Amino acid sequence: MLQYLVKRAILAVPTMLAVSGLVFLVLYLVPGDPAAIFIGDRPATPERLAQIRHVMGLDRPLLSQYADYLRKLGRGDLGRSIHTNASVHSELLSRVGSSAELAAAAFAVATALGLGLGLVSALRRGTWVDAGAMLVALGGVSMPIFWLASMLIFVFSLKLGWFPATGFGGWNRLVLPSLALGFISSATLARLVRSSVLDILGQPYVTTARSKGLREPAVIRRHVMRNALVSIITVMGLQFGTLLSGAVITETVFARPGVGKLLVDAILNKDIPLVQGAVLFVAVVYIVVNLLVDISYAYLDPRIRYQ
Amino acid sequence: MHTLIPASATSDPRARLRPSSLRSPWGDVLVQLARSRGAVTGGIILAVLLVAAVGAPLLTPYDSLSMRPEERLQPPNRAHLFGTDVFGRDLWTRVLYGSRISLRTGVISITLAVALGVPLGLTSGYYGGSVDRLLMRLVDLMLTFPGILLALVIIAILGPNLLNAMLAVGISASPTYARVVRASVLGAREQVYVDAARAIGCRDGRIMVRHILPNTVAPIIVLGTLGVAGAIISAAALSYLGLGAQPPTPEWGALLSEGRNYLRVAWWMTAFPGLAIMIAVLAINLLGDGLRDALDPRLRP
Repeated sequence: MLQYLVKRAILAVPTMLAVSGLVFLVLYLVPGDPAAIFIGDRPATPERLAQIRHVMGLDRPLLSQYADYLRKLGRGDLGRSIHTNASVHSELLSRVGSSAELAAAAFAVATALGLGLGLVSALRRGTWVDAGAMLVALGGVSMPIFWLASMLIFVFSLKLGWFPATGFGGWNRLVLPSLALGFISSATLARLVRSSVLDILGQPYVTTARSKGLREPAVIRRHVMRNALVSIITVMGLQFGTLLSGAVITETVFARPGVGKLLVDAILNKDIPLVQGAVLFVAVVYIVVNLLVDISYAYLDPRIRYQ
Repeated sequence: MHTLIPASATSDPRARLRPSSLRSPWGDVLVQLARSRGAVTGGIILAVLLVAAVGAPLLTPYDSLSMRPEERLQPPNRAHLFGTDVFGRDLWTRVLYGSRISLRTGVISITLAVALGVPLGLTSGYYGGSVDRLLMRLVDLMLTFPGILLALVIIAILGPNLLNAMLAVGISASPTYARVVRASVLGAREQVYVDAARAIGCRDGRIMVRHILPNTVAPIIVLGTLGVAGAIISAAALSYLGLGAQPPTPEWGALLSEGRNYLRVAWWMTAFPGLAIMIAVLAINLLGDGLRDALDPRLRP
């Protein structure tokens, strides 16, 4: 098991390097002189630009600049925001808490809804319960999250006044965003849980378990759900990506000070170092989550461990 | 499953041939689609939307851009079915004209994704070896950026406008097509008819296009249809964030973005454009689900 863990972790290193390379290149792909981008809209003399170019190392070969970039990354130095002049590192740190809170709550909502809807519709296959649950799931796939979020704000904050519409801090500011994000993310999961549970219900070992007199709840828990879990966790890992990009939009709608809103604002402000830092951060989180998903397979399914 | 041949018709040999000529692969798909309630519903809704988009000028007396300040922020009423926005523009007209933009954005983005992804997957799968490894590395790298993050990176580079949003959505959707095409190519490459084509002296390009590409058509149609639905949402999301279509373009996401600050006083500015997105996306998803069942049941989730 430990050997498998180490192997998987090592495999993630080249991916991270490639991602960092791509993020590094963003600055050079933006049309215009990187030095001019760095000083923003302020006017500058050619001498001043040349000086900035030299200080930033922009006059050196690209590869040596990349090596420099990696060295700084290793120290946690992501550069400075053009807009606020604060270090990108501290900007990100101040926003991580809010995003993590939202991601965790939304993930919980998505899992509960997705498992619930999928399981119920599989066990009541062909009935109106099944049709209703799948219609809800299809609605979740088709509904734009920014619309659902706005409608939730309209009904529950502006009309009923139950929850505050914006901001961060306290559970009552978390309810609406996590419901919106969780519901959208649950739809794909519900559809997959349904099909994989249906698939497993037809397996001979389920018939065996039933014929030896095991009660239905125990059959579902021990034989059906346990076997469905591997494919469910795969999709939950993939859905985490949807959740991350959904979080970018959710944070903007609810004006939550998270990494996603930071990224969108940075793009609008043409704050390239901040864009680079936020993109790198989200990509690395995604890679790490996928790594954890892979590891959890090995835990759940011994066949994978010994391959 | 298949058409029953009336006993009286079997005596005529030509009549006996007819049902089998109906049973061409595409005929079969159409029959199956027509049997799926979801696909038929989706297809009808989509047809209505397309007719409305094309015939927009006939369905409204207003212009989508002209402002009438004296009629600003009117709730839905007989003169303004969906109400009016903060500049007194008729929202029904804006949503109607927006369907032209949003539907076209979805189709163009996915056309781009197919145009990029298919040659990539075809080359990768056909040549294999180091070409395959290099191209698939690239595809994997693109896939490490979840959801719309890659699109956001592309917008950060190119700058926010509708054309760039289409490019961004198209490029970030392309790896999926490359992957799926490559998988189909790997299976088709080993077939005897490919060896036969090579034996009679066909060049690689011709083999790829004439003999291997047709194998990948079914999954591309299914993914492409579902992809248009996703692309409409992604492009609308970018516009909503201010990174896609800019005002006063009545793209659906941009309409929602305009309504954002007036949610308290004008819920209709948010509600109707969102419903339009949902109905269009739902219709395309229903049609896509039906196509998948008819064309390629293996793609079922």
